[in-house]
Amino acid sequence: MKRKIMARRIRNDSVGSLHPSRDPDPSRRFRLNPSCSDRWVRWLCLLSVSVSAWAANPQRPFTRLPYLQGSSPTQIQVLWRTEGPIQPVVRWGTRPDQLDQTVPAAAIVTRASLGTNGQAMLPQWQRLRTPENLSLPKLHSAPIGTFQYEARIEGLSPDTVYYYGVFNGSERLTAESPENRFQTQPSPGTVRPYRFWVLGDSGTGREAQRAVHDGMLAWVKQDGRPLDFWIHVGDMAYGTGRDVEFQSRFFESYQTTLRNSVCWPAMGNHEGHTSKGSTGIGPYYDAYWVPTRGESGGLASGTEAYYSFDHGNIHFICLDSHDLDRKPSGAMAKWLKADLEKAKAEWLIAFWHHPPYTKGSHDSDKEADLIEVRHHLLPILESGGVDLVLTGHSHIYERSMLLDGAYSTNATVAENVILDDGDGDPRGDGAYQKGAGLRPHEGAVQVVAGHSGASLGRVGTSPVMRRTLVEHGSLLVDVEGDTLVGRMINREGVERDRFSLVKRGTPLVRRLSLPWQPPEYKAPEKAPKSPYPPPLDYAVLIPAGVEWRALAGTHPQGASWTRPGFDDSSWALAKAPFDSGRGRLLGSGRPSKEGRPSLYVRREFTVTQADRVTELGLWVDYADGIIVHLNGQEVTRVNVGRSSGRNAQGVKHREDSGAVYVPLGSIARFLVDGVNVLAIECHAHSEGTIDFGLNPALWMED
Amino acid sequence: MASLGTRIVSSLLGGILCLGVAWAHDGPEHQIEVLSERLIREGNSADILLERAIEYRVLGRLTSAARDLQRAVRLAPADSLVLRELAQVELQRGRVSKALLWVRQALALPELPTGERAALLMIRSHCRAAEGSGQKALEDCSEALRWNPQLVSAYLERSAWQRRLPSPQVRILGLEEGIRQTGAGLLVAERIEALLDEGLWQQALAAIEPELASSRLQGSWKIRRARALKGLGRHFEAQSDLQGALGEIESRMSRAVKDSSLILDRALARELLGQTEAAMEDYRLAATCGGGPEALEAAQRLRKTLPGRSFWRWRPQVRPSF
Repeated sequence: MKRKIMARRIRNDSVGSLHPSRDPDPSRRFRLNPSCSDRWVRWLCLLSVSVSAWAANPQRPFTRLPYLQGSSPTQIQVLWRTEGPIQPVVRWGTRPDQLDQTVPAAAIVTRASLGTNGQAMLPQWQRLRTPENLSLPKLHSAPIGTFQYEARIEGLSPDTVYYYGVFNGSERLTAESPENRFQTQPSPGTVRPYRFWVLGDSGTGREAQRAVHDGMLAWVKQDGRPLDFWIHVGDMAYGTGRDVEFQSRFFESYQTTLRNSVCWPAMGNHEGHTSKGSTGIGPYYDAYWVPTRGESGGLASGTEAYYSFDHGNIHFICLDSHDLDRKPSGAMAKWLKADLEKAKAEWLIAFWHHPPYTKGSHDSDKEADLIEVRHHLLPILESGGVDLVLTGHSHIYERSMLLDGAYSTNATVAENVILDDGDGDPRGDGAYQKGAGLRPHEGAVQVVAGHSGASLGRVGTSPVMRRTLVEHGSLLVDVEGDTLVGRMINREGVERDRFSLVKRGTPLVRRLSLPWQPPEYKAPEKAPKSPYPPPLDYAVLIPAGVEWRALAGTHPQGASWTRPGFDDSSWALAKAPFDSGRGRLLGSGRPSKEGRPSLYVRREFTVTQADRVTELGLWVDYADGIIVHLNGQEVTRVNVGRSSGRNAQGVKHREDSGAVYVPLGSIARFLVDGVNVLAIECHAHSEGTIDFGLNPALWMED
Repeated sequence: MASLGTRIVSSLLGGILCLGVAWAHDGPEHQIEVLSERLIREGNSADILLERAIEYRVLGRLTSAARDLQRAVRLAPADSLVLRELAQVELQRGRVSKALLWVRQALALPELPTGERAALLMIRSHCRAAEGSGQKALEDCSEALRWNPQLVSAYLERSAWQRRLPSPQVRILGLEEGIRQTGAGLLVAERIEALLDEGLWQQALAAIEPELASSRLQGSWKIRRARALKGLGRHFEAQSDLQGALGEIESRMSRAVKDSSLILDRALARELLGQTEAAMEDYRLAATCGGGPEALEAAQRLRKTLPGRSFWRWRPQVRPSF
């Protein structure tokens, strides 16, 4: 069996059976509708069609398909994970059908997640807790039974395309495909065209993330020049950077790009919930291999939290803006200064998570983290000659004018810190000009690229920004000789912004006392609350239309009905959907005494590896309010103010009809291996409610 | 007229776009709202309280952060992450004894991961430093390194304490061990500083030359070489290096001077050139923009050479040109 989770995986066949219509007739409101006519159904139709192409789960024995890390002119790392151990072998060569070289066994590091003493686990994992396996380096929080292999391929030629395959002994695990390839970095200083992709705040596992990836791929394909590598500026695994979130919302999402180009990461605040820069421990540090000893150029940092690397004539610096001391007296800032002293490339690009200038979903004039970055780190970088700064965190695309010396800790102003207030577009006001080489204080362009998947937002307008776009997308950067071009490509694969930097000669540096200013931003009237989007990669744990134990016409006593072990044999066995107009709600659902209609349903479902579940959610149509319990713990409530059961108060009328996706909170705490109980109570807004009903299905993102 | 399919797709894409824009932004204030709602809905949870405390900390609301973390500790007294966060927040609030209390509680936890133990020991070291117990701070750095020999910042902090509480040979050996363990370039530079502090001029000079040759920005390395040359009595060459370093530093100084690392370099160059008052002004300036204790210490050290003036009332006769 491919997956351990006892669930029926659905893909394209699921749509008609799950989604109710928007039929204005309340009596038909909760009927099944196979016609795909409402907007959710249409949306889901689209999503479902795309799912199989985008977020395919890895085939056994892989639990994480091979991906590339830490390249240099002469070496690269290939990483992958399996469920249970294998005999790891990596073969490589210059033709896909001729992998004539083998990575020595000594060059493959194995890490394992084998649980702790006394921890409950499946017998097959218990058997793996041998002294030999327990002596392996540990994976921090991967599902038990996970083995991670990190193969270092050495002795390569610079700027050369190679193909690779992963084997279990002699059994080939990866397909013989030209897609499993890598290109080594060129020798330091080599001048040729380079292209890299920049994205941030993408790890939602939702449709926008997929669209941004597809948009970039479409644009690149049309342009005919592939990526050399890519940079993620953080927040790649919402909500808390757990190992399962990395798997489903990063590795499975970008597999087609990860297998043939290196992703250089920066840690975001969401990864920071579970990974710590001060210890170097956590799923983020398990997932990535970055140079700590200057393996890819740059000054050895001695830590994975911050690092640098060279790619041709570009020097890149990655900082941890989340949880390390940002002050100049701290180790990271001291390393930054020392690294800049050594950098001899023609271009200098820095990236991290927290933006020094933003008015997107975050405000850099109010938030301490962002102010500190601006106040402490930017002066070091600008006196070191930085050209481009890439950040995320704020869910928006913002791109500055040519800027230098804007370190104010209060409100950022543009006066006397803008060196060129044009649009930087070669087709418009022309490219920004700097002198050749790395020169201090000749200006840098700041790009906030936190718009690659998460919900967007804007609180105002930063006066140093030339372009502000509240739409999903990512950034493509081309560097060719003395010219850098950045393009914002949106989710449809359309170029929405272009800027260029040209480093040539010795242009006059002047500070503009009254630079161009972007128009004031007026926040729109409060937008209606939109539903939370469903995951793209999901399986159904409880399908729609199945039987539930249900109680209507009265209230259960206490909260024991929500817990496993409750004797529900006296409750009716009824099939969803439950609605007042179709006679399927066990009468009217009205309690025997005066009161508004209420309904209580419960059903068991089985999960055999809870630590592999990323998210649980209900695909549910309901009227008017619901409270959802998992194994006796309340995990979600919608439209119900306070209390529960007979005491439920403040039930609001649900304006919209149709099913929505409702994620369940804190499942990592409450979901268990084996039998779980989902219990839902549904309350009507008032006694006179006639369109009272409930139609739930339980989905699992994995 | 557009086909039905086209209209469906465009309305769908428009809907998705609007949906994306309309989802509330996730700035810290909004996150606090969301987490507060979750606390009401799901009841008290150490995880949620920890998340909310981090958001409070981002906004500088340390009292609220500490309150949440104290609640989280009551719910999860064995959660080292919560205890560590609380200790850090208390230290930031200047409540050193409370911070020490939480560190002690965390260190007493059974089966504490080694990396976590090292991080806690470093917080304890910072607490000791705040209390003025340099020797204990130094001991905690060393103990942290026993648990996690990869901790670059601990080597640096230990070296700084060893400089203040002179233990020369141990300092150099400790840094050499750090270089072996981590390969960090920063420790290479710190070892050279240690050699200079100990007057091992020849050894220092030999180590400086290749670093200088491989550097694009040479100011810091020229200053180090000048120290070594001065020690060897080669004053003319030292003078030349210092002038060269000052020239480079001035060319990198922004009009809006804030880069304390550059100011510190300039201060040292000026000090070595005998421009004591200008150097002292630079140290003071560096101390006010994040230069850390070393800037303040250097200023105080120089102050001793200017008798009869209160340090903080002191005004320079020569204003540095920015």
